[in-house]
Amino acid sequence: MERLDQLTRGLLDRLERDADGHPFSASDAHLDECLICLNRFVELRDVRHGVAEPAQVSPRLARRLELLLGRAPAETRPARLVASVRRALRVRIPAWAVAGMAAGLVLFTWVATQHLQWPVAGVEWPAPGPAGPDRLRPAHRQNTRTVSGIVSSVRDATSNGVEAHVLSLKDASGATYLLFTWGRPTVRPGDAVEIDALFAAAAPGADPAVYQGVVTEVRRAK
Amino acid sequence: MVKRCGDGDPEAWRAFLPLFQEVGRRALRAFRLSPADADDIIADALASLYSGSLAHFRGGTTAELVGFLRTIVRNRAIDVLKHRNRLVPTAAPGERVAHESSALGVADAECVEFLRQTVAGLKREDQELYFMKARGLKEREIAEQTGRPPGTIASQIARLLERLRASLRDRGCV
Repeated sequence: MERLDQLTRGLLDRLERDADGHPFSASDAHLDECLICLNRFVELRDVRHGVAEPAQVSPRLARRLELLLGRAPAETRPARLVASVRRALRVRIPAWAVAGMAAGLVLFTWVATQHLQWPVAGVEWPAPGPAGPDRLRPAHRQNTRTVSGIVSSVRDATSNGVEAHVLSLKDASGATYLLFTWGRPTVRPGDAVEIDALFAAAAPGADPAVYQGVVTEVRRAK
Repeated sequence: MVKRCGDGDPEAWRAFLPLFQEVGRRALRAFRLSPADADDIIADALASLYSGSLAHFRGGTTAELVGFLRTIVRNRAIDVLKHRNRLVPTAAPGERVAHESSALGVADAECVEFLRQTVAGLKREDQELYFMKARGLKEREIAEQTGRPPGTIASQIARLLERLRASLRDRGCV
């Protein structure tokens, strides 16, 4: 390499280092006396000329980008922060402890199924409530009951793209019914409704009573 | 565009690619690589940016962005060349190559300083010509960017470099 080339590279190196933290100005007066900014100005002008008419992107480079884009996108800064905090807080459990806990769980489940006596029917039906047995009137199917009352709330329960919601209903006795319903809500809080539902559970100790079920039909009360 | 790229917007990355290629190719001029090698290095630098390096950009101006991208590309080139046990040009900026230029020695450092003063004493047009030549621009590119007649560029550069050589010779640097 020629000596002048070698010293020139040393000079460019030095100017680049000096440019760190040096405020860039492209005013003519400044460029006349500042080699650091003139060097940077020449570089930027060169880049600007290239960017004004950019060359065709090389197929190799384009292919590499598409490969990258095929992967998960780069994490954003907040996401990385959350991930690093999560990693820092993660409790490390040895494999033997996990295996022991799994074995214990299996043993517990076996003991529970062998020795605990489960009621054949969880809830006597119609469930006895403080307001009397006529709260749930018989309907066309054995497990289906019809209840009447005022809708107190409608909460979205959509999951995995399947639309659903939970109706909360109060009847005249003050009992509460939490009823799962597929589809979009057709009633609003405050509406008087009649609902056919399959009742799956009741909380007998609650006062007023709370019943849970799945709606089969909703009608506005006449 | 940098913000959208950081958020993983594919269209922003596609729009960014031609600009990055231009900056990358200019950053690699001094390395005298084959086009295929240059493409590989730019592609590796792109992967580095995509996987999170771009988030380290703290600047707010185009000049700072160009400097940041150039440093990413050059550092990647230095890594590749070191891996191949090839000579690394000392023109590459940044702290990772600082030791290369410091290898010039004390006498050389004085000559670099003398060259700096000599270039500082040139006319502005000659200073620009010197920096463009030093960056590896071709005569056609210099003519396009300065508006000078293409036919005179070669002779102007030759005269300029001869003057610098003479100054360095008088100083005992050549």
